[in-house]
Amino acid sequence: MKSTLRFIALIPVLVGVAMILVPSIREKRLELRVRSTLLTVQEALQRLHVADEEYPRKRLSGHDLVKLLVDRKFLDPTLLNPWTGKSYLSDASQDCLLYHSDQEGEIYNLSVVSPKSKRVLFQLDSTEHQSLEEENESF
Amino acid sequence: MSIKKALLQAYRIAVLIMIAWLIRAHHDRMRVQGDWPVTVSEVKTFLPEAYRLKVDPGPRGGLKVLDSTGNQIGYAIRTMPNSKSITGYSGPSDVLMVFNADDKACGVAIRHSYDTPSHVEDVSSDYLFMESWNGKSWEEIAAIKDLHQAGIYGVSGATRTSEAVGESLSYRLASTQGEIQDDWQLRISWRDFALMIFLIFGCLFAFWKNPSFQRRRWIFSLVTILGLGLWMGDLLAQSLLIGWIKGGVPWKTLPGIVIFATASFLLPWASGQPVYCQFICPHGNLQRWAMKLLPARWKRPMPDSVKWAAQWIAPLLLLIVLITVFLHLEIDLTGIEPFDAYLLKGAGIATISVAVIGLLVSLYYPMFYCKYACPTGWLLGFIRKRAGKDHFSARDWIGIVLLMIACGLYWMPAEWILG
Repeated sequence: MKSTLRFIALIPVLVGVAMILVPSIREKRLELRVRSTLLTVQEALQRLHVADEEYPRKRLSGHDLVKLLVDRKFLDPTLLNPWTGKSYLSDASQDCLLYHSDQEGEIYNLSVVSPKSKRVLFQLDSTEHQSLEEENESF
Repeated sequence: MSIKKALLQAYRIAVLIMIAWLIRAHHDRMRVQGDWPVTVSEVKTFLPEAYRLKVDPGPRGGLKVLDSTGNQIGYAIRTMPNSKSITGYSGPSDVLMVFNADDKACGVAIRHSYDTPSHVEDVSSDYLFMESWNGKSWEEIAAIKDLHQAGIYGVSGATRTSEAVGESLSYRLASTQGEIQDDWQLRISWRDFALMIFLIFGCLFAFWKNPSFQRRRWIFSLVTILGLGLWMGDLLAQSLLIGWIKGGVPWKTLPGIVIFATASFLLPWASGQPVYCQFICPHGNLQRWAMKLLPARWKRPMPDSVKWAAQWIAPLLLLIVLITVFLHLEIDLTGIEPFDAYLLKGAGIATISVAVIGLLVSLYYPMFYCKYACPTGWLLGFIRKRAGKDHFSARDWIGIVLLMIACGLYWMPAEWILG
């Protein structure tokens, strides 16, 4: 009886800890998947650029860009949508990746946008954001 | 002190030091290795006897290459993220450079690139180019400002990519080439003096039990709340301690708070007196004042089961701190304690909530936050010398568990948890 009461009293504490940790761990996992996907798509886009000597000149969602790259055989069709965990080709339900270029197709911009706040979370482009590396603290 | 007590005290401080060391070592490893750690197999290509890589937290910020006997046989660096702004045709590259035991370059490899893949492949397969740095010392490579003058020529058809590789290497080595200016000048300000005064008076109230002096304790407690808390905002907190463990103790720039924090840990460890918790902590003093607000009859006895469960709050918060630090989660550590609320302007919702809820609860259950929910207080209590007989208690077991968790988080690849 005593241990049961203790366990019941401990539940709110454990729930509180889980409420702090679980969302953050989920967010971190998603961040890692998104970064990996972004790098994979970027590399394929670069290969497309070499072949066509220009980037696609239209605004595309992540799903449409992936479809284009897969059709041109620069990307593996098994690439997963990091937000849903399903195949990116078949699942366009949750897609926070956006692509656009300039009129000449000379530059590219890949952005991952928060679905709620519309804030840019990650960005890879030809100009200012050429890598996802974060600055180290000084040695 | 008996031998058993001395051993227990040594054990307790050793647990804290080991956990701090693991956090620091992990931080150094992440600082040097980043998200894409250099592996032994990459280095083995150039140094076949490479067995282990050891993070060098020094100015070079690379990895010492050790053989199976533990002798250093070389050194390895990667150019990212220092050289992330040096782009080739369409992006920067992360380049590995390995040095041999004579500190001469013996190999270069492109680990990853944001540049055009075909160009990167062309550069990687041009052995003449990739071996251009072999035999050169760190200083020689760092001094290269013009690749052509140094006899290094770009790869035809991938000139910009190859030149970016070369520039990245020189930039990376040159960025850590300069000696770190060690500023030995201590910077002392009024805050340092103020903290020393708080510490001295805290010790006086803890150790000098003169009745007429002790009667003035209420004045000191008010001064800590208003002065140390609301005005200076210098409270010990997990965010402060973790920041120091990761970034180094700022004893030259903030000697006062360093001495203050060190004394806060060593005094209870050596004397058993909880000087900081009992006499100095503004939030503790605020709770003591809150205790006096309500009539005693309003205070509720806490059920045993709730007491037992509440004892887990502080250790579980410390667990959150460890997981946050080792997995780099986006959890603001100031939000798990109420101390930042004293900064008023800069305080976040979480820390204000913890402060307010803690105080409200302490109206009915005296000193609730101090007794059960303060992770910093838990650490200070953990190392505190016990009066009378001392033995290996539940708290000591929790210390071991926290140490084991820190070890596990340090050694376990983050991908196992984060995927």
